[in-house]
Amino acid sequence: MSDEGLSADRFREAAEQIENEVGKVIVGQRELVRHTLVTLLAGGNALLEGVPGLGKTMLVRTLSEAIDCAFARIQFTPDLMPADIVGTNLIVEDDSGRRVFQFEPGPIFASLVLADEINRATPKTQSAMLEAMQERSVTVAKVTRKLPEPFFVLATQNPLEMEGTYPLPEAQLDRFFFKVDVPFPAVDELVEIANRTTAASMPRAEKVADGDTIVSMQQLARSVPIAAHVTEYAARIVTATHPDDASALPVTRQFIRYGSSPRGMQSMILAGKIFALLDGRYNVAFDDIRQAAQPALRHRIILNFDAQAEGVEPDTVIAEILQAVSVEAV
Amino acid sequence: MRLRDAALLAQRSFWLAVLAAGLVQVVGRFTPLANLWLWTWLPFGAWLLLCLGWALFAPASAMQVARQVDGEQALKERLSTALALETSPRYGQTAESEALVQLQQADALAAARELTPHKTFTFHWQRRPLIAAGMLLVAFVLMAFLPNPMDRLVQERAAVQAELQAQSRRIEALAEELQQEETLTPEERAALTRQLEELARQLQENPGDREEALADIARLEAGLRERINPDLDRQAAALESLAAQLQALAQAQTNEQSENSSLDQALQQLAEQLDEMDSAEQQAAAQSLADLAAQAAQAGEPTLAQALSAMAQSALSGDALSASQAAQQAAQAMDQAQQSVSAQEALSQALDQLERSRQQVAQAGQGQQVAQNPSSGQNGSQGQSGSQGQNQGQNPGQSGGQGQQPGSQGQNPGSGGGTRANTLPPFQGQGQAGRPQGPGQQAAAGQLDDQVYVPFERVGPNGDQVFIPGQDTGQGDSQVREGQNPLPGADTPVLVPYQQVYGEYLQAANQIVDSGAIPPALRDYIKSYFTQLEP
Repeated sequence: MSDEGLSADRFREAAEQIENEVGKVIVGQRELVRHTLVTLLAGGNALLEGVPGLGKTMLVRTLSEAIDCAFARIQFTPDLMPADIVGTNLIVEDDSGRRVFQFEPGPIFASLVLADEINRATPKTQSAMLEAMQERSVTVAKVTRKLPEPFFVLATQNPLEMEGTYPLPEAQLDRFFFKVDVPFPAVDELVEIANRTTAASMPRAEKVADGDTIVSMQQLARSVPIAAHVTEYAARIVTATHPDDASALPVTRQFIRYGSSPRGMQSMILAGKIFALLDGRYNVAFDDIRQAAQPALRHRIILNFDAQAEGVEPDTVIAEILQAVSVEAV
Repeated sequence: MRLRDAALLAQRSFWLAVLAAGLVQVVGRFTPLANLWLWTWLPFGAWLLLCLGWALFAPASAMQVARQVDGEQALKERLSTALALETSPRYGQTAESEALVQLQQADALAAARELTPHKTFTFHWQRRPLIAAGMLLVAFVLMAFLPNPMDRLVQERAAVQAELQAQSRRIEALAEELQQEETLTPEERAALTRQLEELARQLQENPGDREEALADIARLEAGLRERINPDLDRQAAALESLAAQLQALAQAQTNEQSENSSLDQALQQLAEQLDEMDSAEQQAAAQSLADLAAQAAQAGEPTLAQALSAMAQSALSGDALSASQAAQQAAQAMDQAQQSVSAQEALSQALDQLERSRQQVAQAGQGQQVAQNPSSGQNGSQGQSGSQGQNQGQNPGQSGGQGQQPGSQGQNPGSGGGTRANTLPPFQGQGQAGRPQGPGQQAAAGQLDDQVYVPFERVGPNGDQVFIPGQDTGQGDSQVREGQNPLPGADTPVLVPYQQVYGEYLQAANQIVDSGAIPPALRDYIKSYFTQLEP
C-alpha cells in the first residue's frame, strides 16, 4: 500500500494495524512493540537488551512480515568478520567463462536487520555494522552501495553473558535511537506464549503495509509541528543530565558521569512527534517528550561508580530528572 | 481566569499576611509601637492590594493563557502550539508540514470551542494553605486581644509628646517675649532667644522620649543658671530698699510728699536744698547718706556706694553743686543696677519657665497612674482642686495651690482621689507671690510686707545667757530675776526688711540645694516655696 501525501489518520491507522498484526504473534510486550515501531517510523535503529528467548528475533521477523520488507538476521559471534555483514567480492565465471569479480551482498542488505548479540563481535565487526547503520550505505572495493529503504536495524545485547564479550562503546551506543529493555513476561503472558507456540499451528502476521508506506510515514512524522517551548523542554531535560552544568540537579551531580549528547534530544523530539500522531494529535505535547525520555536517554547517560555501587539504574535517574525539570522555563 | 488565579493566589498567600500581622503584634509586645493596630492591619492591606493589583495590572500574555489552559484542561499543548505556529517562524516547511499545521490549528480551535469559561475556570478552595492561615489567624486573634504591656508606655509617650508640643509653644512664646526685653543686651537677647528657639525645636521634634526632653531642658537650665546671679533676690531686695530709703530721705529733707517724682528728681532736690540746711541738718543728711552708701556697698553696688558717699561728703560740706553731681551719679548708678537686676530677672523668668516645663514634662503621662492608684496614703484633700485649709507646716508646697496643673493633659489629681504615697503633689506654683495661709497667721497686709522679726540669739554678745519674761505658775523650778530684761529686740534690731530676710534665706536655701544635700525630687518644692514667698 503506498499513498502519496499520507494523511495523519492513515498514519495512525497503519500504525495500529502493524501493532495489531505484531501483537498476534508477540504476546504482551506492548511497550516493546510500540517503541520498536516508533524507532522504525523515526528512521532510527533500536538496541534491545534482554535475556534469550523473549522473542526479540520473532519480533523483527513478524514486523518484517507485517510491512512486507526483507528481513535478515545476523548472529554476531566473536569470529564474525565485517565482510560477513556487508558482503564481499567473489570471483565467479561469467557466461563466457571469464573470471570476474561479482559482489555478493551481505545480510545487511535487507530492510529489517536483526543484529543478534552485537556485543559478542569484535569491535572491528561492530564498527562495520554501525557504520553501515549510520551511512545507510556500504562501500566494498571502492564501490558504494546504498542500503534499501526503509532500513532498520534492531541490535540485541545479552545482559547475562559478560565473559568474552565486547560491550559497545558509548560513542557507538549513542547511534541507537532507542534502547528498549525487554522484560520477562508475566505468568499469564507465559501461559499465552505457551498456548501459541506449542500448538499445531502458530499465528502469522498479515501484510498491512509496505516499504513505501513506511517511508511515507517516516516523512509525515518529521512534518508534525512542535512549539518552541516544547522543544526547549526537551533541551532542558538533556541539559539536566550533565553534572558539570551550573544548574545541574543533585541526582545528576551524584550519579551521572557523562550526560546525553544532542542525539538524545533529537530522539525525544522525533519520537514525540510519532507519539503525537499515534495519539490522534497534530502537535507534540510535554507528555510525548516525557514518554520518549527513558528509551532515548537510558543508553546515552553514563553513570559513575557511586551509582553502580548503590545499584542505581539509569531509568531511576531519568525519572528523577523528569520530575525535577519543570515545563516552565526558569 | 485571571480573577480565578488571583483568588487562588490570595488563598495561597493569606497565611503570609496573617503571619506578618502576628509578627507585628509580637513586636508590639516588646517594643512600644504607636498605632499598633494600624501597623497590624498593614500586612492585610498590602496582601489585598497585591492580589488585586496582580489581577488587574499584571495581565497574562496570550501564550501564558494558552499554556495555562493547556495544562489545566489537559489539551496536550494544542492551544499553545497553535499560537506558537502563528507567531513563530517554522523550519523546513513542506506541503505536508503546512497541511499538518492547518490540521493542528483546526484541532486547537475545536478544542477551544469546547471550553466554557465558567466551567473551565472554576474556583476551588485550597485546603492546605487555608488551614495553615486559619491556624495562624486563631493564634493571631488570641494574641491581639490579650493585654499588651506596652500600651501604657505608648500612651505615656503620646502624653509626653503632647506635653512637649505644648511646652515647645510656650518656650517659643517666651522667646518672642524676650526679644522685646530691652533690659538685656542685644547679644544676650540674641543668644538666649536662639537657645530657647533651639530648645523649642528639639521638643517639637521629640517623638516622646521623656529622658531626652528632660536632658535638653536641663542643659539649657544649667546654662541659664550660670548666668543668673545667685544673690539676685537679695540684691533686688537691697536695691529696692535703698531706693525706698533714698526716696524717703529725699522727701523728708525736702518736705515734699510728691509720690510721682523719680529718684533722680528727689536726689536733685535734696542736693539743691543742701546749702539751705543748717549744719545739724546737713550732718543728719550726710549720716543718712553714709549709712545708705554702706548698705549699697553691702549690696554689691560699689558705684552707687561711691556716689552716695560723695553725696554724703558734699552734704557735710554743704556743697550743693558737687552734691548735685553726686546725686546724678547715684541716680545713674541706681538705674544701671536696677537694669542689671531686671535683666537677671528676665533670665530668672526664663529659668522659671524652663523649670515649670521640666516639671510638667516629668509629670506628663503619669496622671493615669495617679488615677489608677487612688489610695496611696497621702492626704486625700490634696487631690481636690483649690484645696484650702492645709497645714502650712506639713505641706508648704500646697499652699495656694490649684487643683489642676497648667498645661497638663489628662492629669486631674482630684479625679483619682489622691496621690501616690511616695511622691509629693505636683508643683502648683504660678510664680506669683503667695501668702502663707493657716490659722493664727492673719496679719495686716501692709506691715508684714515690709518688716519681719528676726529670730533672736539665745546667747548675748558677751556670751551671757539671755532671759525672756515669763509667767510664774508655781510649778517646777523657776528663777525670778528682777531688773531690766534684755528682751528680744532691745539690743539687736529685730525688725528688718522682709526682702532682706527673704533674700538671705533664699540664698541659704540655694546653697544647700546646689550642694546636693537635698534629694532631687524635693528641690523643685523648695524653689516653689520661695517663689511663693517672693515679695
